[in-house]
This record gives sequence, C-alpha cells and structure tokens, in this order.
Amino acid sequence: MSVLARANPPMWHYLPGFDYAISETAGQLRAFLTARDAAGERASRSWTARRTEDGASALNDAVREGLARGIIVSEYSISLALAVLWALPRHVPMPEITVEDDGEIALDWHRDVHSNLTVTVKKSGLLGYSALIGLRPNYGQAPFPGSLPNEVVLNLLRVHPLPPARRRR
Amino acid sequence: METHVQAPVQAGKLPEMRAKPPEFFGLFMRDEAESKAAQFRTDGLTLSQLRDYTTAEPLFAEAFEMWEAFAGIVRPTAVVRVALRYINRLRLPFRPGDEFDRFLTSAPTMPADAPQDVSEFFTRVVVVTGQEYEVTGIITQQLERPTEGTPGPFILDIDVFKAGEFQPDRGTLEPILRDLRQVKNQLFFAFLTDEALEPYR
Repeated sequence: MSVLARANPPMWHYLPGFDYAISETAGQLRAFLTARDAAGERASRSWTARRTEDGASALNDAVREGLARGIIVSEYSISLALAVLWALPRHVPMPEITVEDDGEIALDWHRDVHSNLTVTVKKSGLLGYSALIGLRPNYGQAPFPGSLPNEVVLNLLRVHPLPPARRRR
Repeated sequence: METHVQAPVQAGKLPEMRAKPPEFFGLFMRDEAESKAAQFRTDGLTLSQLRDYTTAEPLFAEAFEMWEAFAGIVRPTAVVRVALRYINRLRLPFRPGDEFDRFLTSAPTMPADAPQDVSEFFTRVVVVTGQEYEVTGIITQQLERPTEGTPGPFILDIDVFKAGEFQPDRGTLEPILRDLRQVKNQLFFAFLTDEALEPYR
C-alpha cells in the first residue's frame, strides 16, 4: 500500500450529484457521507477545506441572489459547481459566481480586458466554456465526470498561467 | 417532472408568488416485484437491482437492452462515465471479543496502547488501477452501531468507474463494464476472508 500522487486533476471524492443508488442502505450512506463532508470542512483548516468553504459560501450567495430574482438552481448543478471549484488548480483564484436566467451557474475569471474565461455549469452535467484571450476566442462544451476537462484547464492556464517556480538558494 | 413554487420575502412587502413551469428530469421505473429500478435521466441511465441479485449476466443483459432503447431515442454523442456499484449489506456473525480479521481483511486498526474494543467504524478508500490508472475504485466499509448486544450489519460498498469519452455503442461499452466487474470482484474477494464468504458461495 502506498500513497499515490496523481498527475491528473484531482477528483472530488464524493459527489452527491453522481450518486444514483436508491436502496435504503445507499440512502443511509449518502446521509452519512454528506454530513461527514460538512463536518470535515468545518473541522479542518487545510487549504482544500478553506477553498471548499470559500467556494461554498460564494456559491450560496450567488444562489440566494438568483432566488431573489426568481431563479431556481437545481441541487445537481450546485453540487457540480462546487466540485468544479474544488478541482481548480491551486494557483487559480476563486471566480466570480453568478446564476444565469436559465438556472445555470457561471464562473467568471476576468483578468483584464484581453483575458477572460467563463465556465458554465449546465444542467446536463456538461461544462460550457468561453474564453477570449487576446484576439483568440475559444469556446465549446466538455463533459465533467468529476475532474476538469482538458479544454477548461488549458483555458484556465491561458488566463492564469502557472507562476514561475521559486529559485532555490 | 419537478416544479417549484417560491415566494421571495422582503421586509415590509407582501411575498410575491412565482411558479416555475414543470421541468423534465427523466423517468423512474420499478418492476412489479420492486426488485429492480431504472432511472432514465436527461444525463444518463442507471439500472439498480435492489434485491434477489443472482449474477451480473442477466443484469448486464437488461442494462444493455435498456441502454440501446435509451440511446436510440436520446442519440448521445458520447458516454463520459461508466460505473458499476455494489452495495453489500452483510450480517457477519461476529461474537463479542472477535478480532475483525476473522471476517475482514482491511478493517481499521487501533494503536496498541489505545482501547481495542471497537463498536462501529467507517472507512473510505479511493484506489486507481488499470494500465494508465484509468479505473477508479471507491471502497467504503461501515460497521454499523450494535443493536441489543449484537454487532451491527457490515456494509461493503464498492463503486468502480471509468471516466473518459466513449462511443455510445454496446461494442464499446460492454468490455468497459466487464473490466469494471473484474475490478469489483477483485476488490470484493480481497476485502473479505474465506469465513465471511462461506455463506455466499
């Protein structure tokens, strides 16, 4: 048994949106896991926990603001959006989150007028992305099976390039 | 179908009622014996065997029959996730004082200097396997709270899946499902001792 550090983008370890089991036992496990995740986030002060907390709080604000406009967001979309936030590369800042009129959740990174990316969490489970970096637009849709699709990661890196490695002394 | 009625409340104002038109999320069906259930959702298909499970073969055959009917109507361009999940609720005849390794090969351990009498536990492990780590397995073990002096039921939940972009035809999906079944079997038999498996042989 050994620890494996995967090179792939991290995967949210429990996504209620992907839990389709319907038995009584499955329901008990789901309740247990959902409660445990919430408790774990409160108890832990790790970077991941803080990112999750910040993401959940920003997402809640956006959903509440959407509700005030009469827009309802499905629990499935909220769960997926949270998983997307959690799966973001560490150097990428938290996006601006808005709920669109059709109930989709939009995550916006606006670095400057020449460098923008919007990722939309769709009800179908797909991620829509629309980037404008310099004069090069790039847009499309990609599936989100629990880790960020390559197209989204590449666009994120175009808007927020990896910081240079620190020099060792 | 789902519909929502809501009333945003603002201080000093009467709530304004708004209703959203019903939205279609999919079909949920059960057989007469309530042993199986199918979910035809807008984002996929799930077939569950809730009891009277025998082997995977008839379940797979039925799942593919449903998939072909579903895909014929929905015409998906690709499948992005194939998953197989077995939630086993087992009554293991533990006696007070038994070591977990009588039935379980991977129960949690307590440090030698700590109390050793464990009444319940919950563990969750994520493993990746396959040539390029393309199959993920999530193994959840739970020993439930004891009742009336007898140890609680033990749950061994094995969820294996493969994410990617696959052709939505049976020729592509069936080998993936069979690979997943192999991984599931490997995990199931690895987590239980021969004594635990005896009643299920």
